[in-house]
Amino acid sequence: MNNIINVLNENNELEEVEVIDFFQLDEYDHEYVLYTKNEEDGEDTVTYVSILNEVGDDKFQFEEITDQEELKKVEEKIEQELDLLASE
Amino acid sequence: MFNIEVIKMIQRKKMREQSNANISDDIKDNLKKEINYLNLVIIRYDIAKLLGLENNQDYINVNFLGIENENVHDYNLTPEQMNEYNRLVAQIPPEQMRRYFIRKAMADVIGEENSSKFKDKDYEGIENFNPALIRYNFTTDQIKKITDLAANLASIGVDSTTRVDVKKEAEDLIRGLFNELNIDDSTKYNNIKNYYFSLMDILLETIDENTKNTIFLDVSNYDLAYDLIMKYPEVKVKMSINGIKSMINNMDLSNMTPEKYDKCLEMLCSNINELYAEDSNKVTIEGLINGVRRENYSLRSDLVSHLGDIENVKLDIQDNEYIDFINYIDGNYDSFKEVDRQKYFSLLKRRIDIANDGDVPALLEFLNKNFDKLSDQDKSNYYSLLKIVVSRDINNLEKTEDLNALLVKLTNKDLSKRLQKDFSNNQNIKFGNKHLSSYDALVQDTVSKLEKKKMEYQKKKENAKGSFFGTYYAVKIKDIDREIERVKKINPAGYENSFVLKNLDDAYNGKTTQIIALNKEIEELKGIKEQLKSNFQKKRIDKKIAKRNEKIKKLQQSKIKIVGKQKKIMLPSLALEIRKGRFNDHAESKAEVFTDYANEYKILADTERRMGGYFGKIKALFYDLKSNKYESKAAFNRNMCDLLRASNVKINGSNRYIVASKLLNQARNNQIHNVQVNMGK
Repeated sequence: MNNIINVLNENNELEEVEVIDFFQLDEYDHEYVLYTKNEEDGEDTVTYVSILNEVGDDKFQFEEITDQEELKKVEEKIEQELDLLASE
Repeated sequence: MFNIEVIKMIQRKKMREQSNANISDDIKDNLKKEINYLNLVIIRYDIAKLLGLENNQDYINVNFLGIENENVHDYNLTPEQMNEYNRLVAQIPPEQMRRYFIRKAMADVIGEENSSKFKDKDYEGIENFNPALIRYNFTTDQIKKITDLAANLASIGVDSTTRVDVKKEAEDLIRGLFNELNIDDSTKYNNIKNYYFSLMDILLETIDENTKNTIFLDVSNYDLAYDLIMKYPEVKVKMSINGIKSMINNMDLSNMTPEKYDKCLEMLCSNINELYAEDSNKVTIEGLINGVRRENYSLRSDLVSHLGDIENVKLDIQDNEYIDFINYIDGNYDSFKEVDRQKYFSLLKRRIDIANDGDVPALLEFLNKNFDKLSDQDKSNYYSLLKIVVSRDINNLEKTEDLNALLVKLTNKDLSKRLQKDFSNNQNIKFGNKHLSSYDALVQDTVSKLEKKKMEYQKKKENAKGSFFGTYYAVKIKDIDREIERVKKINPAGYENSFVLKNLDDAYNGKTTQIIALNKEIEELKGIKEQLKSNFQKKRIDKKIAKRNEKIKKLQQSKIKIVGKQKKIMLPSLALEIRKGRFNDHAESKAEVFTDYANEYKILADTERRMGGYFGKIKALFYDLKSNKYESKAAFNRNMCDLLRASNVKINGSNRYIVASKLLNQARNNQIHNVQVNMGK
């Protein structure tokens, strides 16, 4: 569990999230972060994906992917990788 | 003709019998009625004799009916004769006289009061609105007058005991009309229907709604049923079992207007469903439905889609008629209207669904198996049908996947070739051999690359025999052997679920496969060139090789894309991104790029770091990853997290996913992208 970082959530409260992965897509000049707050839902876990964005003064934001085309590609990438894990 | 003297004799005999005290009251009443009648006949005969008409056929034939009311002045009677006339007329019962006047009024309406027919017996009962009225070609205006007259019989002398129940009579008359129309002879029906319906129009106005709904029951003529519901939509038309049978036997879209057909179908199905609800009718109804003419595909199709849950019916295309059915569609398709096409295909679809657990077109399977056995004409017919089915399904997103799964399995070369030719422009379609060729080309290419690598390692191993490196290369060779086995074992039939083959497909659709194929050709040409002795021939081969190289160059160039946001990156980075873009088709190629361009990524990472700032550091870490600086993706992720921990991170928005916890744990351990990175190592 080395990948736990503290973040400020939408209510400006400090919150721990566990980063699952960082990745890029060839088509977009963005860095993406896949993380979880370990919210279990039966056999599933809620995960989140955001654009990792710098806002200056050593500050970063996890931002929502609003471009639907980009979101689709990100989803495909995640699903592709998860499928690959599932087939192992 | 009767003999008046005989009548008189009978009358005398009956009078004698009447005087017999032993006769019962019933017999006496009957005798009295008969005597009254005979008396009337005798009186009328005497009047006729007085007028000199006793031998006139017009009178004799109708028993002198109404002769008592003839215009007596036309006969120039003497005063004595006139007295005799009045005496005779006075003997006629008043009831008879009233009836005469009513009949005369009716005949007046009809315009036949002066006709010899007026004396016809047919007029008897005219005042009671007898259904016999219909044999006169009344105008609607006349019918209206008769109806009014009948409704006011009291005003012309019929007392309450003899007054007609107009509503009852109208109802009976409608029933009479309906029964006469409800015949199997369609020619006769069509000849009389207009007139009968004009009568019904008037008569229906005189009866109430509830009565109306009891009239048109048990319709057995489907033309009549249709006309009734079109003409009187508010009236309940109920078909008898015979009617349903008749309709099932006779309904045929080819000789009916679509409107009539649809209406009849609606009526038929609602009647069937209603009757079928009663247990006692079930077997009969099932039998009737199964009696539908097998070639009446249109009706079968409609019944199957409109009827409720009716069991034991064989409306669907059966095994033994499937080919006939296909032939029928194929032979008549051009003449079908759009609505027909839908019907036949719905039937075909049902047949296909039933025959193949819902998702495998039997037609395609059948043709795949039998196509080579068919005559040229049959091939053409069947193929045209198949084209229709494929055209229909291939653009339907819900069906495309199923259809492609079928096409992938196509083994008949002729069939496959025809389909590929006709559907080459359709983006949705995929053929099995396309996948196979793509698969084969890429797998072979991967295997040959691995074998080439293996040969290199074997040479190095030989040179380093007995040292640490000898063992190292032996392990590498073993790894390659394992990888070759793995690649060879990939089953193309299971391509849908295989990530690797999905990528191979992508590569096929892109340019990689073409490049691989061209490279193969170049290798083959080089082999040929080595065997050639003539310079002229060698030059020709060089030209061919040059042509292929040119093609490869074009294909590679066409893959170059400049994505808008990459403008932010400095020039050297952009150049590298462009180079990277050439190989982004599948994981294997990409991994090679990472390895091949590791140095360039290092330069980029340094550049980002020199630019300073946290974000530059993040970018640099990604370039470090691509240059294989990290042992694993997990190590890379840890570095990223360390970087973020030293800064402030705020969640401004995220896209939420639900992932299986088991998979997530695997992701934690493996880290996404590790496959990609490892492959490049």
